[in-house]
Amino acid sequence: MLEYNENTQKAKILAEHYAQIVGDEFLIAFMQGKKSITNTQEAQTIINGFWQMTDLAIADHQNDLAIDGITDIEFWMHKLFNKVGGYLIKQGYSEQWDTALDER
Amino acid sequence: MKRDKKAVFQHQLKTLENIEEKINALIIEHRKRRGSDLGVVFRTVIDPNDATLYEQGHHGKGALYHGVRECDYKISPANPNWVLASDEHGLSFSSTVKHAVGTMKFLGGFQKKGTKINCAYWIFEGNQAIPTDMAFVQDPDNPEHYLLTITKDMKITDLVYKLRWISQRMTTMKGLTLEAYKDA
Repeated sequence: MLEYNENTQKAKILAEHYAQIVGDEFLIAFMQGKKSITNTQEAQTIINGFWQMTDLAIADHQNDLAIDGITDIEFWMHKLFNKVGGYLIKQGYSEQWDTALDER
Repeated sequence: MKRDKKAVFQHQLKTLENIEEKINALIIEHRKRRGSDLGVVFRTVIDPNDATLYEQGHHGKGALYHGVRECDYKISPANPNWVLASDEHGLSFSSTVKHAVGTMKFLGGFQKKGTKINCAYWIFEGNQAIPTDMAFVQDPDNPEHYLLTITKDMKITDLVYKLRWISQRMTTMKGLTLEAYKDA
């Protein structure tokens, strides 16, 4: 599961916010740190969802929006990028993660 | 809402696989010879910022102290002239080219059209060790990601001096420069 601490709460807030907009229940639970990935299909759901979340975050960044008082969206999404990417690598889904990155 | 971004950077990166293979081979060789786990690190640098210090207006949305972003280091709440030691705060570095390129693509998406996104590297050679009271700490979340932390509280001017020293020893890989393809 994703783990957050007191220093990464802003990443968690953004993760939950954007996952809820995307609307996938598994994505929301994963980003909240409540569910783990157990198979390739779930990994793909998280990867696709993360990049949808990133596109939403880029749009908010462009419009100078604050999410729950968080203005530095780029910085905290970068934290989430390392958290999600690292989780996938450690769980053996680096090929899927890399493929999605190549398509960006 | 989802935007088609598949074409992003594809022309700029078409020769990247070969370059990446060659660089990875050099990294492995260097680490083997040096007997070190790290030896070389990479960092995404967005124009017009320096490799380790930011320019006002090009640092994101938070506060900036002498080129240091408040989000990168633990600025003392009592006195912003001091930075507090923390193994969870520090400048972001990559230990592999793959992670570096992924970071460039990710951060590149947030930049304005035409912004250059560069990759700089730092090879630890001979006496050019990491400055005192600084250390690379592996991100517990991501084995390819490191934070350049400080291990002792210090004045921000001292941190800036150390970061500038590092920057002077970093080299930008011009061949890997990306350019944001549209406004972000």
